[in-house]
Amino acid sequence: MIKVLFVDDSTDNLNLYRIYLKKEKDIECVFIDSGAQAIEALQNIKYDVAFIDVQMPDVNGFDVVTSIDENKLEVVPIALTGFNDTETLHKISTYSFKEVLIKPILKNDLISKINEYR
Amino acid sequence: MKILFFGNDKLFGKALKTELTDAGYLFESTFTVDTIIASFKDVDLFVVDFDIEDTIKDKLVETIKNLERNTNDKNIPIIYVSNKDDLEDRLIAFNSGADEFVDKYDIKSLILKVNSFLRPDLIWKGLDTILVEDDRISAKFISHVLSSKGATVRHFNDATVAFEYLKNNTKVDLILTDHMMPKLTGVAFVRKIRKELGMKAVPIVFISSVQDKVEILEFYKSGGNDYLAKPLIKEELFVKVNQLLENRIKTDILKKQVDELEKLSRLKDKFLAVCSHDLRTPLNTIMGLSNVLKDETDLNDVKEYSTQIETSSKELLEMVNELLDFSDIQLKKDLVKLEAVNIVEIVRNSLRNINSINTKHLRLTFESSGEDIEVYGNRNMLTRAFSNVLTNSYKFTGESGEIKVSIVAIDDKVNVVVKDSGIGMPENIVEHLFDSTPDVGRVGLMGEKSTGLGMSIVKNIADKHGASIIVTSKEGAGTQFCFTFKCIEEKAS
Repeated sequence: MIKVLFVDDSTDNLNLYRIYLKKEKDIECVFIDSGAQAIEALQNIKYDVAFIDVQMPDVNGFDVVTSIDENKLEVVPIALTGFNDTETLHKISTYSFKEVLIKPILKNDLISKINEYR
Repeated sequence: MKILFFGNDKLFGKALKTELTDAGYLFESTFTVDTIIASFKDVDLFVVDFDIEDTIKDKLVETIKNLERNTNDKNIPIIYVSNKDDLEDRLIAFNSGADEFVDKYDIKSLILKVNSFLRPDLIWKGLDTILVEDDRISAKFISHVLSSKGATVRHFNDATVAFEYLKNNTKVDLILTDHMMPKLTGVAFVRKIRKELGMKAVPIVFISSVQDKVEILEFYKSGGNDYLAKPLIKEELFVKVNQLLENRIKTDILKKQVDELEKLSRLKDKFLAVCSHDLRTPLNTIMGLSNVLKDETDLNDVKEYSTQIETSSKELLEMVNELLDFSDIQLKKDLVKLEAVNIVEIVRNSLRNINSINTKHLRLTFESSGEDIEVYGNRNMLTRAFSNVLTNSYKFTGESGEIKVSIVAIDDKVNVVVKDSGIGMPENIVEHLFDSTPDVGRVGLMGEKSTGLGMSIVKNIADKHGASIIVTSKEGAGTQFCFTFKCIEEKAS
């Protein structure tokens, strides 16, 4: 069993990930739609992988990954982004995200990505 | 003074009319040669579209030539305008009696040319000039020449005083300065202006009796644009100053155009940002779900996915429509066709549309002080504006809430008020409600999404109708939009 956290301000996107993974019995998922709540959740529970949308209002994905660094949490942070311009990608690369997934994200890609970190 | 435009380019004619009427001219437009013959006596200047058919043009040119021949004393200036400016056309135009040939898109230059023909005494109107000259007679002479063409002249005897003035007033169109002055020489003065004040663009003319070539060279090296030798000749002063000032005016026009273009380009960038992010969100869902749909065997799941795909598609369509409307209204400078429309009917229809989707069972009420209140407007645009406002009210009002629409005509004005009992807006949202910077819109109570452009579309439409909008909102209590239009006066009153 692998424990995965999804952080995205768009509930539609979260719903999509939920649909993708609902038949994967050995993946345990938690969905959170705000950066602030994600920071709290990561401190309370140990996750194996966290998919974090970088563009969110108020507390964004960069703030979340910074908090992961500061608290030395053992979780693999993966950035999610709708922008694929060089500026955004460069900014992501300066943070400690393990890698970055560019939306739209398809089911098989997501599952095989999760399986890489088992 | 009357200007006659000959041509059938309606759009250009309309733009020209606006500019010329603003400048205080009478304007008429025609596309028949007979009108030219009839009104030849009252017209002070012709603007002729060069892009018309050759046969009509030939006939026109022949007519004007004949008329001019018959009325020896009257030589009416003719300005040809064209979309394409090439040497061959210019030659034909000037051979057939043109006094000027101007690009159609350069309407400001056209106005400048018209002014120089019809109001030569005012061609420098609105320009501020600085004159630094300790010799009273020269100063008087120069001031007279400049102000006789409409320019404002500020005269200083001492360059140090002039410099102090310039420190606080950098918006000057021309500086004329003597060189040999006791406290500060002209050359030192100009160096200070160019370097210390950083005024690189303002044209500067030296006035001096110096004849030494090396010293004259010094004038140019320090940053002067031209040099007038004493004793002054009126024509020389006029020609040199005119060249510099005309450049100045044209630079200003170009600067304004560049500013406008930069503004539009920034808007376009933001547009792209909205498109790439906001439009992607529903598209992600559509792509993702259709991707899993083909392997899904559970019928209930298939139903759930296809419902979601439908919702996301609708969202996407709504956003695309909003973007298109916005670019239609904001980016295209197309002239809006206004005609007499019944505002009561438009508002009522918009409310009916809301009623047909009213699944939240909001109480919708409508009242009007009359059945037929007419304003000058564009039906489609007004419908879009009211439906945007009503949709917003609907989105942000909870179940069993209320939307009240009332129309009240008072004197020559009509107020359209849309009031809801919704969640209201905090002050910072109200403040920026009409900003035309696409941003992520506020999510409605049922999770409805938007581009955040809806309200700026409303504002734009209102502006085009000369209507005002007052928004009052209280968090937790509701929002009220009040539009004020000018009605068409009834014939009876």
